[in-house]
Amino acid sequence: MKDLILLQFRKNRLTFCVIAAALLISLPLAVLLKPQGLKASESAATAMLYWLFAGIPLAALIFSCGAGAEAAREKAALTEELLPVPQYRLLLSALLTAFIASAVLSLAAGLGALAGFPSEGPRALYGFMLPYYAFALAFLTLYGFTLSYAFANGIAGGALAITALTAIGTPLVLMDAFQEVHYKLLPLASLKALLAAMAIAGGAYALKLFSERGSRAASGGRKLALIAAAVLAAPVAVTFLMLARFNSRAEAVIMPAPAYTGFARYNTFPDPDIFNGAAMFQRPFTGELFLADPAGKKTVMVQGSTDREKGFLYLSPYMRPYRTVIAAKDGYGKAWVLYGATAALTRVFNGDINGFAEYPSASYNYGLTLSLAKKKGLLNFRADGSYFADLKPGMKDLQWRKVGRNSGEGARYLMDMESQDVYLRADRRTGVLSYKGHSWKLPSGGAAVPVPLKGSKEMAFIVNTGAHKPSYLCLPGAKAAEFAPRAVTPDMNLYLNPDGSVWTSDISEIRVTGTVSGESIDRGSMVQRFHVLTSDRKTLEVKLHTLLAKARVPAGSVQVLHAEGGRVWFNLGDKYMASVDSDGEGAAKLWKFPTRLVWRKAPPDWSSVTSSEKGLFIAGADGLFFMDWEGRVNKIS
Amino acid sequence: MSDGTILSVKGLHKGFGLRKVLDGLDLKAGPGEVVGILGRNGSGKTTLFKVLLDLIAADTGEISALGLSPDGSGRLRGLIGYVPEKPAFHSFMTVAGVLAFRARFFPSWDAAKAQELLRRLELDPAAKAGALSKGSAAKLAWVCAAAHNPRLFLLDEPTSGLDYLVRDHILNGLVHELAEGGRTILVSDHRMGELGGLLDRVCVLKGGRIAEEHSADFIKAETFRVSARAGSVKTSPRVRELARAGAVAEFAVFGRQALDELRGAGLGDGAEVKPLEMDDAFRAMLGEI
Repeated sequence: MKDLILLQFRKNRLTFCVIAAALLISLPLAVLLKPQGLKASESAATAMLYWLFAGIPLAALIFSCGAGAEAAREKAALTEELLPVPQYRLLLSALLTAFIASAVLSLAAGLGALAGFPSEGPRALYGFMLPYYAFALAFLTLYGFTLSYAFANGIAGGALAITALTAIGTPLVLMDAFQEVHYKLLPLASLKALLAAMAIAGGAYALKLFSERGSRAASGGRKLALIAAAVLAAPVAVTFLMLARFNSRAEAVIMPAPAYTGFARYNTFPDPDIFNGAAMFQRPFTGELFLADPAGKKTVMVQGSTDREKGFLYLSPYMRPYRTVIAAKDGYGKAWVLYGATAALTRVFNGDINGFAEYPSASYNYGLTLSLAKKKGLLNFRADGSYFADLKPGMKDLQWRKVGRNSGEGARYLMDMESQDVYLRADRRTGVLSYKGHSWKLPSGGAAVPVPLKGSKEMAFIVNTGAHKPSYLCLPGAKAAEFAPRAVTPDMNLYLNPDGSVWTSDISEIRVTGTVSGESIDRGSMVQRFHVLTSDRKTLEVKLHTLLAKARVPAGSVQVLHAEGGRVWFNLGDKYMASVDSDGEGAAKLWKFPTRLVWRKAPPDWSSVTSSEKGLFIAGADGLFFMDWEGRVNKIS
Repeated sequence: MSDGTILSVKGLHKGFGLRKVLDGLDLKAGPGEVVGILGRNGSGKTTLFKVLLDLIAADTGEISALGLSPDGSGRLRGLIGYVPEKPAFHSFMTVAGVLAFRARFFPSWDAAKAQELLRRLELDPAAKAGALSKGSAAKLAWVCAAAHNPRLFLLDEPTSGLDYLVRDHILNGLVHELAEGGRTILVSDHRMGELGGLLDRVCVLKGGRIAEEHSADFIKAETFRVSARAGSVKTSPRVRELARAGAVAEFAVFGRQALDELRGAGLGDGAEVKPLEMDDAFRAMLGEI
């Protein structure tokens, strides 16, 4: 086989060398012609990425389809088929050579891309994409070769290979998307691996059948060709059958309903514990919305629908997708919830774990905001202006009144209500923030923007003084003190926990060495530094690095859940809950989640976990669990 | 083979789509036998060779060559010396490179013999295969076919397109030497007459089967050319008209008995009987008049 592979490589040496040379030349060209804003190394790495995702798949097709079509020609029959080796082995040698050539180029381009983007984010992305890329490359090479051999035409073979890959890839992407919208599906990872194995084995078997048809088929060459075509088409058919099967068996899983508080610009930071220790969940497929508390008590606000349309490739998940929920707590200890059943229809609820009342539904179009400042109510931006409706428990209907001629005036109406007592004077060097008799002198000036923090205490503020300047914490009775080394905003990087703690974080890369639980750690890694303001207004700073390395969780996928008594609780990458002393990681405690999460996202974005004052709700493949701050687990549903 | 047969083919069928190329072909060849396969274009000679080489599979039939049957493994090709009608080599290889490459696949490859053949056929080992003339390529094909010492040779138009000197070199040199060495040879050639002195037997492939078969001795000694008045001779499978000029026709007569029967029936005045040239015998066998 080695001699045959060397022969095949020698035959295609020129093509390979030209493409490899083009890849190498693109490196200095990318550096010379680098776009503005990119470093030279990043520009070169970007060129390598283009090679990886466009150039090399094309090269793989050129190698494989050229070799496949060439193997079907008469000259190949006269030069190689006379050798005393099976025809299939000859074809395999040509196929392997094409694959090796593509793999070598991929490796070179991949290493180049990694060298240019050394941080963990792109590396994690590469790690995620590697199996897909390897499969796509192997598939294109195998199917391109086989079909080009079968048709004795490289262009036809290449076009069919691309079509087959698209036909397989599209349902897989759809199934992945199904997973993303929270469906408890069959074990997709295993099935994808099985499908990949089936496609590769099927392609190899089809090549064997085609080689027999072409050379030494017994009677029934057409039958063999039909069987080979069926084997080639099988992965495509199986993929679509899987999709149809998944579709009919898709089962909605419970997931936390993210309660947007609408505080971002117009409201003060609201009372964080909206549901008094409970949390809100939904099943995206059925549309069910309910509140559950740590003890397992459940109050359904929206009944789920069990109706589902039947049909091949019916993309049901997108028919009843994830709903937008806005929730906030009013001055009576109850929560107001806006539930976006459709884009044009919002349902309004008021209540707690003991029950909810629903207010008459109406079509509000987009732009409904919950205001819980001085006036509790709803602000609705409509085509003819902004309208406001007061919210009072026990009321029978929403009474709208016009508060502005356009959305700008509506926004001003809220701002006037909420920020009338806050004054900020700032120049380039210094600034002064005033609020109800309190005054804070800011160490630096600039474009200061106060972020109000209410919680259950007296009003406090975090003031930003510029995008790349420190943000300052202004607590009543204390001087302004640095909170974080950069600006923080609720829109982007300032988070509020149900226990009232507020936090942000920044990430840097270090070499991590040390010992955690007797295990020696020594590897390059990222460190994530957390700046936390506890509910009793104490600031904590915690650095995580050895714990991240031990849990094999990348920095950036960590979320502060709770802060109390000098300790901070974290969600580590949706895998572990950890509590860490602000003095260091030595006394860290780690609890593994009791269930695999169906839908995992790097927190603090949407995820399958949500915290309350008392602990953490975890919505996983095995149901809904509650884990308290000492790691004790209770299965709720 | 227990009876000493090197090649045995029974009831061989091979078709391509609806077209039957081989239709129940039977053939045998013993050690040291040189068998000429005679047939018109498209009669199935090359298909027969490809089936014997295990390059394409028969639809039905039994084949045994050197004790092996075609099984798709390619083993049979390692035991057979094959000279194709249009030899082809990787153009980037030199002559020496072609031989070195093939040597890796044929366990019985004799490098010294290959060198000797190169020298005798006046081939330059450093010449690029892609730059070889047709004659040189044919010579190289001969080297490739013979250098692994096969006991069975399949020669498919081995002298096609070659000039006289090369043909003479190959036919009078190599083929004769192989035949003398006890190798079994199946050869198809449009210039079968030039092989006349080497052949033991001639088979005519017609309608997908061996339609006629004669020993070379029979063709040399017992075929006659009869010139007689047209109409005075009745044609039959043993008496075939070769040519006609005015009232006189020439006939190929196969077998002394057939000649005696013609004489008994009366050939008429001016009739002339001569031994038949081998080329004319082959033409008559193919039905080319």
